[in-house]
Amino acid sequence: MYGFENIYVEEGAREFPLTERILNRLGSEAVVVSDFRDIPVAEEGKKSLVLAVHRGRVVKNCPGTAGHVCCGYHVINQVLGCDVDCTYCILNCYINAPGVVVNVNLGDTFVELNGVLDGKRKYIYRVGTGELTDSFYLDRLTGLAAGFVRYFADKKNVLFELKTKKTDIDGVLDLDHRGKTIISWSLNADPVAGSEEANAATIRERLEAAGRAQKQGYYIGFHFDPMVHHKGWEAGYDKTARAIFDFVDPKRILWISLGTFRSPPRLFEIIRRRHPKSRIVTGESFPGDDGKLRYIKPLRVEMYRSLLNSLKKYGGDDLFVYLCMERKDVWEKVYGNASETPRNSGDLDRMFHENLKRKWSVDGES
Amino acid sequence: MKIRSNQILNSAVPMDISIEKINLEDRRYTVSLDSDSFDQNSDLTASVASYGILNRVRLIDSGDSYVPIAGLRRLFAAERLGIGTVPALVYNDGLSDADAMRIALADNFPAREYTAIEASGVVSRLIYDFGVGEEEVVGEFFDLLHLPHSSKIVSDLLSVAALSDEIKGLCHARRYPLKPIVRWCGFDEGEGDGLLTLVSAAPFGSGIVTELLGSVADIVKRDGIAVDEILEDTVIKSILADEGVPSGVRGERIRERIRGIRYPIHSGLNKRFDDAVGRLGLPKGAEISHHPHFEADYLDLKFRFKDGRDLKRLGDFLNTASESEEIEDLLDMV
Repeated sequence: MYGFENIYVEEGAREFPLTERILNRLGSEAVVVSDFRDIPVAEEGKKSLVLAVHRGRVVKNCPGTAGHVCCGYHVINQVLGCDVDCTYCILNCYINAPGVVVNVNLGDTFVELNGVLDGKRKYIYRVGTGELTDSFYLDRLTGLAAGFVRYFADKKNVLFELKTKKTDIDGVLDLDHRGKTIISWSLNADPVAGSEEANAATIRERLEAAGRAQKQGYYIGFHFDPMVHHKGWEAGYDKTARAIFDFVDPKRILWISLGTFRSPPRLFEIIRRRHPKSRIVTGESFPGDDGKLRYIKPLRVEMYRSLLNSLKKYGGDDLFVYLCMERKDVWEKVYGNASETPRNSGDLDRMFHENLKRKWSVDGES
Repeated sequence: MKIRSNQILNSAVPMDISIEKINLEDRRYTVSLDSDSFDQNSDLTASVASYGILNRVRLIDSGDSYVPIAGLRRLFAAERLGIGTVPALVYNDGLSDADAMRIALADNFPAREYTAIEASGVVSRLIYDFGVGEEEVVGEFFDLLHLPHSSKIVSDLLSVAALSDEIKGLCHARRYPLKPIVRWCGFDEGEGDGLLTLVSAAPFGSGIVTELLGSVADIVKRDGIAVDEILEDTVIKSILADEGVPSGVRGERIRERIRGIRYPIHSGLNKRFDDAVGRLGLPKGAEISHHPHFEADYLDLKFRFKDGRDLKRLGDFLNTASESEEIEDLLDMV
C-alpha cells in the first residue's frame, strides 16, 4: 500500500496509537531509529515513510509573504509529503527530507489546538491540514481526516478545512461533522490538471466528489491555485468555473481562492530538472519584493479578472472569491469596488468572518 | 595482466627514446582540445632549444612504437628542433587505459585548468571507451579534473560530450563553463546546431548564452514551435544579416529580440512606457522610471536642478502634465 520502500519509526514514536494503527495496516516491518534526522535521504523515485514525533508547534500561521495581503489562515502540519506529484508543489524543494513524515503524536496536536481555540479570538478561526500534504493522503492508513472532523465537530467559532485533489473521501462522508468542516478541492483548467497534476483526479471527478460531500451536508470550498498561463487559458478556466455549478450549489460554497503560479526561483530549477516537459516555467514570471517569481502584474490581473467574471457569471455575485497572497493594488485592479478590496491582511480576515456569518450555519451555534 | 594503480609510478623506466619511434598521432590519452596548436608553442620550443626537456615525457611501450601519455607539446617542440631522442618515463604495455589517463591528468594537474568540453571528453572516454564506472570516475578522477564530486556533473558531462563537434568547438574556444553548455543538451541535434548561428553571431559571455538558450528552450516549449521558426523571425534574420554593426551591438540586439519573444508583455510594456515618456516631453533634468518588472504600484520621478528657475520649470510642467493622457497611460501600467 502506497509503495513505501522503507518504513522508519522514531524511537520516541513507537508507543503512540497512530504508530500502531499505521504499522498494523501496512503489515510491514519498520526500522526503529533514534532520530528521524539520521535517516538517509531516499534515492530518486523511492519513498520512505517516517513515523515521527513533532517537538515544536504543529499548528502554525499559513506562511504569508511580505507586502502581500494574507487571509489569516492556519495550518496543521501533521503530515508532510504527498503522492499527487504536482510539478509546481513546494514539496519539490524539500529534497533533503528523509521521506513522507507522519507526526504520530496526534494528542499533542489536539492539546495545542485546545490552547488556541480556548483563547479569545476576534474572527472565526480557519485552519486546515492541506498545506504540506493532500488532506486525504495516507488517510486509509492514518484516519487523520476523520479524526480531525470528529475533533472539530464540537468546537465553536472554528472552521476546519480538508483540502484535496482526490476523490476518496468516504472515510469522512458519514461522520457527524456538524458543519464545522469544509471540504475544498483544488481546481484548474483541464489541460493544466492533465499536464501538471500527475496523480490527481480529473477535474470532473473532483467536482463529482464535491457533489457527494455536499449531499452529506459538508460546506464546500474551491482553490484555483495555481492558475497557470497557457494557450487557451481563458476558455479553460471558464469551462471549469462553469462546471462547478453542475455539481455544487453556490449557496454551499463558502469560499473560492484564486492564485496565479508563483514560486521561489529554486523551484523553477527543480521543475526544469524533474519535469522537463512541464510548460509551467515558461510563463512570463519575474521576481517580486519577496523574491518569489510571479507572472508579470498585468497578466495576473487579467487572469484574475477573467476567472472572477466567469465564477460570478455562473455562480452568482454572492460567491466569496478572494486572492491568495496578492498585492493590495492587484486586488484594487481586479475588484475595483472598495468594499470587495481588503485594506490589509487583518481586513481580509474580517471579510472572511462576515462572509461566514452570513452563509455558514452550524449545529449548536447561532 | 594490467598493472594496479598504486604500482604505477614505480613501474616506469627512465629511458632516452628516439622521437621517430613515438606515434605522435595517437591521441587516446590527450586531454587538450587545442592539439592542433601543439607544434606552434614558440615559448616552449625556445625553452627546449636552450635547456632541453627538463621533465621527462611519459610513454607506453606498445612493442613496435611508443604511445604518448603526457608531454605531447614537449615532443612536438623537440621534433621541430630536430632533436633525435627525448628523455622519457616508459611504462610497459600492461598499463591500463584508466591508469594512463590518470597519469596524463596528474602530469597536467598543476599546470592547467580544463574547459568543460575537455573534461567532458575525458569523462566520456573513461566511461565509454575505457570501461571505468561512474563512481570511480567521480572518486578518482574528478579531483584531477578540478571538478566537485557530483554524480550529476557526470551525467551533465556525458550529455555535453554527445553534442556536435561544431557546438563543442565553439564552447571550448569561448571557454564556456558547464552551465550554458548543458542548456544546449536540451535541444534535439538539428535544433542545437541551428542555434550555433545565433550564438556565433556575437562574443556572448557564458551568462548571456545561458539566458539565450534558456529563453529559446522556453519559447519552443511554450509555443510548441521549432527552433528554426525562431531563427526565421524577420528581426533576428535582419540582425544576423547586418554585418556592418560591431559584433557587441549585434549581440545586444539579438538578446533584446529573444527577450522580446520570451517576455512579450514585459517587452510591450517597456515600449509603451518609453513611448509615453517620449510624448510627455519631460523638462531637462527630469526622468521617470518604473520598477524593473512593473511590479510596484508607483513610478519614480527624478529631477536634477541648479536653481529656482529649474524648479519653476518643473512645477509648470507638472501643472500641465499631471492630467495628461500620457501620465494616465503611464500610471495605468503600474
